[in-house]
Amino acid sequence: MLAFALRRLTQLLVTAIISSFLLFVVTEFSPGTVSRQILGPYALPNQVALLDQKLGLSQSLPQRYVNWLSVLVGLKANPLGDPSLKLDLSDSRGDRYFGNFGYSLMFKQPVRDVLAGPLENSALLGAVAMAFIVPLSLLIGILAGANAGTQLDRLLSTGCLIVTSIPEYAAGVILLTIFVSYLNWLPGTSPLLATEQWSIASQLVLPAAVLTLATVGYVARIVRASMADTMTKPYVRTALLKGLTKRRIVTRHVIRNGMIPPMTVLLLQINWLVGGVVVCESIFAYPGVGRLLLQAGLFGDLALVQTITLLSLAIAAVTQLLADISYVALNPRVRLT
Amino acid sequence: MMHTRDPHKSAAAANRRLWRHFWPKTVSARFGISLILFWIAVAMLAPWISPYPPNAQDMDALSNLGPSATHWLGTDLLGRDILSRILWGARTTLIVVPIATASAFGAGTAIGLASGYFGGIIDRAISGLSDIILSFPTLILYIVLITSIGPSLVNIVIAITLASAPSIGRIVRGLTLELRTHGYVAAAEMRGESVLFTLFLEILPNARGPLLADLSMRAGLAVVTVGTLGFLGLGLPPPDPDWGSMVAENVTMIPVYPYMALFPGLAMCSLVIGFSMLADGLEEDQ
Repeated sequence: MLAFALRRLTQLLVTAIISSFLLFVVTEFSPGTVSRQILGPYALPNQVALLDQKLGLSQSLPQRYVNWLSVLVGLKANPLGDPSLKLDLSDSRGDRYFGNFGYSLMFKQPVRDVLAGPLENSALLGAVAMAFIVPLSLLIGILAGANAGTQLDRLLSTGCLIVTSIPEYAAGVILLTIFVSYLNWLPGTSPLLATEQWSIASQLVLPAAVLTLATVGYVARIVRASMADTMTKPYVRTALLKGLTKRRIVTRHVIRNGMIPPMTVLLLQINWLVGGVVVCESIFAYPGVGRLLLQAGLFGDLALVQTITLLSLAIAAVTQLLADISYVALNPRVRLT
Repeated sequence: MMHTRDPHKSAAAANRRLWRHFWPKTVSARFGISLILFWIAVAMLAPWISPYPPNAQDMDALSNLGPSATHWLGTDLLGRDILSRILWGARTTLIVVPIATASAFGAGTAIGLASGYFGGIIDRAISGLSDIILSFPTLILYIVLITSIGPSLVNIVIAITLASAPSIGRIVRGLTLELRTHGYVAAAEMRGESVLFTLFLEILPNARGPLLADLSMRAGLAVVTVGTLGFLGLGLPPPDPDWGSMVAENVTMIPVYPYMALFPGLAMCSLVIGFSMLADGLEEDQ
């Protein structure tokens, strides 16, 4: 088990290095030189030249990537913080520390300070959504899977298929039309500032509902498939012939065995949720990381885009690792080699 | 042997067979393909069936924006007819989606066949690179790519290809690994057919069943992607209507004029549901 986890960890590290390099290449490839992008269209040529020199932009791409990494782990000072550049950027943590993601040029602040609040908000949204997604998808999937082939199964499966097909923003629009325009039960935007009319909790309902709708159908279908497959196993027939009730067979035997594949899918779904969060936050003006990423991308705030993407990669890598390990831990039949 | 059957009758029978071969067997697939064909027809006929030009502003409608006898689905804040914009928007979607899906499928099939057939270092290189691309959350990959290379038809196609070719490749690789053990592959190799012949004319046709279902699912995903990019302001530049940006333009109006964003949103849903139902039905068919 330990050897397996270690090997996966090494793999993870290699993937992390290559994917962060790719990310670096794609973002720095942007039209216009990097300095132009930082200083804006009205910068004087000598300012651009100075910044080019300070940032070491004449160096080769791999070399610049190494510099970038060195800043990130705190081996080097971020050249942008140099007071002689008159960019008015300073970091209260000093210029050399582990996890230095550079400066957000959109906010004129260190990326860490910009990200702290939105990160918390997005985590809250994700957690609330997961709290609905897990029980709902398990319930629907188990109901449909345990009754595979029946009218109930057909109804639930088709319902899930349709719900999964609805793009998040369309789901958002449909929910907004019903609950905001016609019923006036919920607020249309979620800036997470409590007003007299709408509490913070009420502002979380619709964004979480959109994420739930977008995810629940897919996971439920996986649960259903696994349950239906387990129901055809010989030990289920044996249990039936032995005279056990269907309820007992399902709760005691089928669920335990049928839940192994869906567990990993649920974990991997967190990765998917990260993308869904971007759309969801844009619909409801929710002050989270997803909306921030979109703004940063449109603005050309390289450091912020890179940091948020790195974060999402880290989440993806960790959930993947957890999914692999949980699959092995849950299923004693999987042999480790 | 002599053919004794009536040629007319057999031609009709052949037609019927052809029809039966292509017309899906399950209800959900039939429903899905009908929805898709409906939108394809709409996209092709948009210039003739839409009541107004998509960008024409009707100043008389501004006093009464809602659905009315002159504007069945109402107009947006600029007085542009929503129905016409939805009909024209079908064009945008149904031009980008087939190109992007074909490109992604072409690339995915090529890398999948190569890595499944050759194995070894080629397989490891392709799989390794695929894993890395797949480790990015898809939408984040799109945002990073499109914001750095700029929104245009070509770039959207490139982004969709890059993001979905690896997972298509995985499926094709798995199918190839299984199919290459069959006798007809060995036979083709033995009689000295070229590698390309073996890959594309022996292995690929036999993988078509699962691939068709996946193709339909990918097309649905591409519809969602094109819509989402439009919604996020990363789609094709205005003023030509596309459903995603129609929703984005009007989403803040929902408390007052919900229909402005709702109708394009529903149009989008129906097309995606069409592709998913078709994919689901095709999977069941096998």
